[in-house]
Amino acid sequence: MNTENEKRLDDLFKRKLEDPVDQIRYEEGDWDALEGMLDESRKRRSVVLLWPILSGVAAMLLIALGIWLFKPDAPGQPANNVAGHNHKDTTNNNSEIAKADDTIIDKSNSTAGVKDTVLNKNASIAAARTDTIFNATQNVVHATQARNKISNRRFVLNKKSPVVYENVAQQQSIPSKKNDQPAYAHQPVINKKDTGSDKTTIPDKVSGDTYAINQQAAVVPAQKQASPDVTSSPSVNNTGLAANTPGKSAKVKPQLAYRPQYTLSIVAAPDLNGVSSFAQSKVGTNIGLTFAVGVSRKLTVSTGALYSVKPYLTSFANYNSGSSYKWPVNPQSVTADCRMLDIPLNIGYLVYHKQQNKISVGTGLSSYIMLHESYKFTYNNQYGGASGPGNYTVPNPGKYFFGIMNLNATYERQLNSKVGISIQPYLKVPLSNVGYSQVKLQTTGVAVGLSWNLNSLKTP
Amino acid sequence: MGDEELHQLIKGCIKQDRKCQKMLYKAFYGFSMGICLRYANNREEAAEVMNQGFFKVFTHIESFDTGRPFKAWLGKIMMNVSIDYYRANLKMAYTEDLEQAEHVSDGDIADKNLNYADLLAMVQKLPQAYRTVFNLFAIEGYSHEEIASMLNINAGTSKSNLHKARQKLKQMILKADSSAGSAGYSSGMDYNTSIVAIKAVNMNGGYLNKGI
Repeated sequence: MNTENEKRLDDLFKRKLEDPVDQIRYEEGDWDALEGMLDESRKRRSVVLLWPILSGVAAMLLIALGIWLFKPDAPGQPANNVAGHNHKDTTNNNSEIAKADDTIIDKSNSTAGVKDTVLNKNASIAAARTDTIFNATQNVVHATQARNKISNRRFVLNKKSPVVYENVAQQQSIPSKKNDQPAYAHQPVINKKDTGSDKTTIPDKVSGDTYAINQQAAVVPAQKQASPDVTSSPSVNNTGLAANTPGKSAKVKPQLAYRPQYTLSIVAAPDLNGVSSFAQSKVGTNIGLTFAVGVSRKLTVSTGALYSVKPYLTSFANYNSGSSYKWPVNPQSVTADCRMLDIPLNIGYLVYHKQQNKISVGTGLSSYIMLHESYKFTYNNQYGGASGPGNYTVPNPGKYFFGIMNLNATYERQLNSKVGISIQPYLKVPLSNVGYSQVKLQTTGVAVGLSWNLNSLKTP
Repeated sequence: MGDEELHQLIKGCIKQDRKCQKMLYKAFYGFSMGICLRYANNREEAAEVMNQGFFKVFTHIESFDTGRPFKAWLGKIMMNVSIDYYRANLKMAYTEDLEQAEHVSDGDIADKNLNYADLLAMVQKLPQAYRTVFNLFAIEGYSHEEIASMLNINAGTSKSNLHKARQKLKQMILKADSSAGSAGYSSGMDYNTSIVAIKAVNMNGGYLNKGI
């Protein structure tokens, strides 16, 4: 066939076959088939994309469950012997008193004012039962303060009769006379109820004052019981301060200098790895040691080394060999098997800490030291037979420093002074390309850890 | 379809809007099917290949550069999907007696009254390797070097396959002519082309991990 004829033949086919739009009839069935493919793909993708969200929700639920299960008991239980706890209980009860006063007594009356009234009463009523109250209250309120208040409250006192006081005291059944106090924890509740009913039968001021007396009688001896070894004057003074200014008392905490805390943890984590998205993610595993230093009450710096197996699947479009190698055939997808040391450097901020439970959020950077890196290439080959290189193992895997950003939330529960457990949902966001394939490898998972507090036995 | 309308459709497709996807599909159905039919053995396979192409388009549409012509991008995808679909067949060698084709006399084929369906049927009758090279060279306009690179074959093989493809097409045209314009050319053709696989060493041994 000569060249001219060849050209003529080619032109004939080119002219007729190049753009035959009018010759082809649209078939709705073809679209239905494609729609099925798209639906299936979307379903698969949405399930994979939901995984991190679901795991996050599950982790949060776990944390919430943990908090609920290990929530401290309701206030009112007997205080233990730790000084700090005693202090806290006293504060709580004082605030309860203040609250009760607010509801019953005139709003302008402070707790201190109520106590001052007690003094006035004791001054004017020469009943044996008031001796106890007076003695207790005398120690509570500072002399000058009391004197000032006395002048303010004299009007109220004058309105009150001993009979009313006695009746109320009997109604409320407060054994102030004999000083044999009922259980401390139940006292405020009883007082509130009784006083509430009294309020309906007697004038406001009287009921308010009476309530205050009862409160004082109930609280002060109890406080004395709680700290029997302390000399009466300072301890009662403390109580008085707390009663007068409940807000201030809450701040009175032992301010010890912060001592760095060192924690060693063993961590294991299953995770999902994907390139650019989690659409084609594969499950990897991590195990390693981390070391954390608490640099302040809220901040923790941690580092460590984790052996990570990170398999992932990605389309060939994301694969960048970075060399001049010319692929005979472009593979359809690449399956990678990467094993590496993940060296994180994170900072954590404590957002919640109650008893043994802690929740913190953290961020930081990870470096990947590749130990093994191999790739398997899959071709779109329907009829068998390889169409290009099947796999490739990188001879000298590289190191990628601070190429990954870590985001995490940690729930930690201290089992005892030395040992704790933690659950940490995390996300690793690529800041730069990693691996021989230069992919943006992202990871999400949940790490479970067992930690040792290294300085738990040392005295502060 | 105007450019503005096309860009709106593409934006909708980026948002995975199914209506926009369908409109785009319908708008370029004929164009895409036309390409796939030339590479496929029949319409069913062409539809399957075309849907694979559109699937790629819809799942990677965010990578499309709107500054470039969409039709060219789409056409390239359809062509690549078609080549990939039949890639294994391109490795087949045909025990074709070339001399038999050489005996076909050079007749004038320019004035043959052959329509689209006739010519498409002829192309689809070609063995896969011939058909692909003929499509790439005669219709798409690639050089033998480019074809060799795309199909991972030698440039000489590409030339040879093109030559054989032309011979066969000419035979078919002449037979069609002798059948008095009927569609009888297909029944009259009997090429007795047998296919054998190239030795495995040739299929796999040629690829080295040259610094992948």
